[in-house]
Amino acid sequence: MIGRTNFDFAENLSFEHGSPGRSGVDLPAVSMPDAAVRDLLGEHARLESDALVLPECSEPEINRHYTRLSRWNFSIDTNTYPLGSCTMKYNPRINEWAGRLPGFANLHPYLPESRLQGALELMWDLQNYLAEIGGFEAVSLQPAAGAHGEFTGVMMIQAALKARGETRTKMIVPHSAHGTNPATAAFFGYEIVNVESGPDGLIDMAEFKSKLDNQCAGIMITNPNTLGLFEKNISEICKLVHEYGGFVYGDGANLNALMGMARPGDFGIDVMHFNLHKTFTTPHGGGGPGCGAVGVSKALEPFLPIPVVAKGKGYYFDTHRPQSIGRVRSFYGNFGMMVRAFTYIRELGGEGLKQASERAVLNANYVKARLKKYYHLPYKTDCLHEVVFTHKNTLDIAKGLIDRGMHPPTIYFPLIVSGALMIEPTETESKEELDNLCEAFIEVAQEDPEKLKGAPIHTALGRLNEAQAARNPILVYQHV
Amino acid sequence: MRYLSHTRDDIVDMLKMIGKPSLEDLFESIPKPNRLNRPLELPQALSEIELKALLQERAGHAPRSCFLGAGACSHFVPELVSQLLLRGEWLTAYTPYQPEVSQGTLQAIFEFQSIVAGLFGLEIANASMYDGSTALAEACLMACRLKPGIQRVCIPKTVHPEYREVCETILGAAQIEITDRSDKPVSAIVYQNPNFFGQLENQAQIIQQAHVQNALVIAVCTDPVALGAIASPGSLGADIVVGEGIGLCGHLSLGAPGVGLFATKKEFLRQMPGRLCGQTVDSKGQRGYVLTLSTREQHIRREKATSNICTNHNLMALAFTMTLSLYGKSGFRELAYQNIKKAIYFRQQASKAGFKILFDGPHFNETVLKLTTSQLEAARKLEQEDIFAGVFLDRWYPEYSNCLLVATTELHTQEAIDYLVRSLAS
Repeated sequence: MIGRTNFDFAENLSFEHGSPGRSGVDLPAVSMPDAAVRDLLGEHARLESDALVLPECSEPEINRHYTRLSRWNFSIDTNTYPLGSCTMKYNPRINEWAGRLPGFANLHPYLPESRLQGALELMWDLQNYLAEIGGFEAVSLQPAAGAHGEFTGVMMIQAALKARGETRTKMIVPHSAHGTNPATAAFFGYEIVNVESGPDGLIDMAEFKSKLDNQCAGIMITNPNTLGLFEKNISEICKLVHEYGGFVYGDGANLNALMGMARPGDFGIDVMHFNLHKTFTTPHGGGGPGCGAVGVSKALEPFLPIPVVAKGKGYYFDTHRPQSIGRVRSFYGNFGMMVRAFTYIRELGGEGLKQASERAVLNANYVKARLKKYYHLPYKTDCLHEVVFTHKNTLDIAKGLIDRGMHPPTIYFPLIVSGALMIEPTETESKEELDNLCEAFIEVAQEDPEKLKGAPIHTALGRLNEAQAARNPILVYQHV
Repeated sequence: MRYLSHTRDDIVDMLKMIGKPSLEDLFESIPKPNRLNRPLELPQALSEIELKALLQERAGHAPRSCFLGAGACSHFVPELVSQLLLRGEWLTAYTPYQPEVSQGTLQAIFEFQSIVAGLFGLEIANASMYDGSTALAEACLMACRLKPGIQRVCIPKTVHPEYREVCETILGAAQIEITDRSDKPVSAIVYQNPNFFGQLENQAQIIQQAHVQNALVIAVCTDPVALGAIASPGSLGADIVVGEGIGLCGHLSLGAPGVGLFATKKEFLRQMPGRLCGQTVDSKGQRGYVLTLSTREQHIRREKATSNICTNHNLMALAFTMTLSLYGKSGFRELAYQNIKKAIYFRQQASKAGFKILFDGPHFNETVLKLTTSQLEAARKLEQEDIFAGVFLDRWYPEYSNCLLVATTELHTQEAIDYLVRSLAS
């Protein structure tokens, strides 16, 4: 499939449209004169010089502005989006319908619990579904995103150690981990102990063992790892960490490989975040909102953040949890995203989720099989839901793919290989789409490298000057 | 399964290409003891018809009338916003890592940053945080990075109680002390305006005093609509301003997702958390946008990052941007004015009916009523009509028993306010 120029319109900033005095909202008339407000505000009033930065446009102007801008975006709805580690699968439209049901969408967080029984039941059920899928004792839906789930999880580990009267100083983080892992552990004052990958792409067990001691709070591990490979020593890793009194944090970013096939809690992982916006199809939204629910083992259950959704005579928010780490955000978590994930899980059921993981792994292996002649495969080990190739001109390959109608894979990550191209096709791409994707990859691999340096040419804008943006930061609209 | 396209022939062909005899064999790398040997115990799969019935039953209907605010005050959001958000190009894109195919999201973030910075009266804003409470915690962490050596911040009780709880969790983990007194050295003094009880604070005085003490000032705004009428914290000298935009995103959804707002002075740029979008040019010299200054962020800096935040609340930031852009300068001011007018009207009517109003002085759209036993009874009775009169403060403040925080906004008609006052008085 070749990108074809369509109707693309240059589009200025909203502030450059419109004319003074225009508005896109008509509020009902209110009889009280403005003077009453001015009298009340006095010196609290906003001055003319303290100007708002807002456009002055009618509704049709704003509609056209954001409709045009939307067309400058690549999206799952328009093309294959094989961004590794991001699980860019189809976001079902029924989810959006569900999230907009007035009985969910218009709930105020401080309504009495008796008025929230349907919502609470949904949260209760979702907690239980996730616990079953991940193999955990309990689940909190509070964290807003994966990194926030990591924060919550590591804090629970710290709290559990403290309850035993222990303060530990280190956290093991494999070099292949997402950047959020070391950033989170460092926040809690842990020294980051790196562990390299062995020749098979898996954690080097000898190095791991040599670094593990009773000063390690634990390990943060992604399984399948960021190369898409299953850490086959996971049970032994968990056992060893436990023997030293530590805990195992699981990064659930790659859960899409395992649903119904294997459960992280069964491996011995003590706490793991789920990314509802990856595995459970809540929309990616250009970068969130997500939902980073965390599952925990029995040992960590007392430390869950408050409130926990509980069931007694009815459903309620339990805040009386003496060992809880406390509240990690306002209200109860990204409920709108929970509704969508619940919808997805109920539609698929257990068998459907398993089938989704099977197809996700099938698709990744198919792409791997078709591309291994053209790209370097640094690890020959069987991959699961994603495959990592390398290339000496990774950036040019990525930009060349854009001209062939494809979103580039995740590039230059994981850091353990040089020039990584991390491809995660997901289960919702058909064989034909995968063939298109592979053909695009093959074509760019065979393209004249010099020519690729000019890519992309079919987009409205060419390569952006990122160095200039950082050197001379312009972060807000400059009035002319 | 309607989301999967593979036919039996496709699977056979694909397995042949891969060189595995069956789907099962694709999972050979998972050791047998690690595999789940039973089906997941989840409810049966549902067709879309059945699914809709189930969800409709769970959702029930929206409350008939609601005067609840307390950090989640609903405002009027034009239908266009919801319609635009449903465009797949907005809904199903991800973080704009490849700028050439993400100019829509990037330009919208740039507009969002511009609007937020302007609203708060500051020079720069980031691409959004999870919510107001975590934005406040991040602001306190940032202040302590800027004032190393003083691991203490002042957060008074007039700040949203849940925001204070979140700060206790997050700052506690970073060994930062929280005090509500201003007589100890602190790296930052926090104030909320309008405060949790709806009053307007004397911002100029707070900021001046804090700066005399060499502390940074963090302002919190849980309802940005107020800033359509009241002076921005930045214009008076606040160093960091954070807020919560949920009321302008379209749905309260039990309090989230909304959008955390974060703005500061340009001089503090390098210590800022979160994603930033910046203006640049493309290879042909055309204006364009990219994610920038990511050397502060976890994916580059790993353990040395300013924050571990990765995913933010982009779709809600977009909703917020669209809503404010629709209102425009004059519309947004009118919105703020209408909120104040509704609160003036409510107070007048409540006073006339003999209610005791706590906290005098200028206020925005919330009012605290001290109820008598019979008024309390009346509030409970209203709940049976599916009308919710306000948030009871004793949930967080035992000293304010029988006190009701009532939010009156542009969404409440005069008749609805009259009915509320009449019902509570009876």
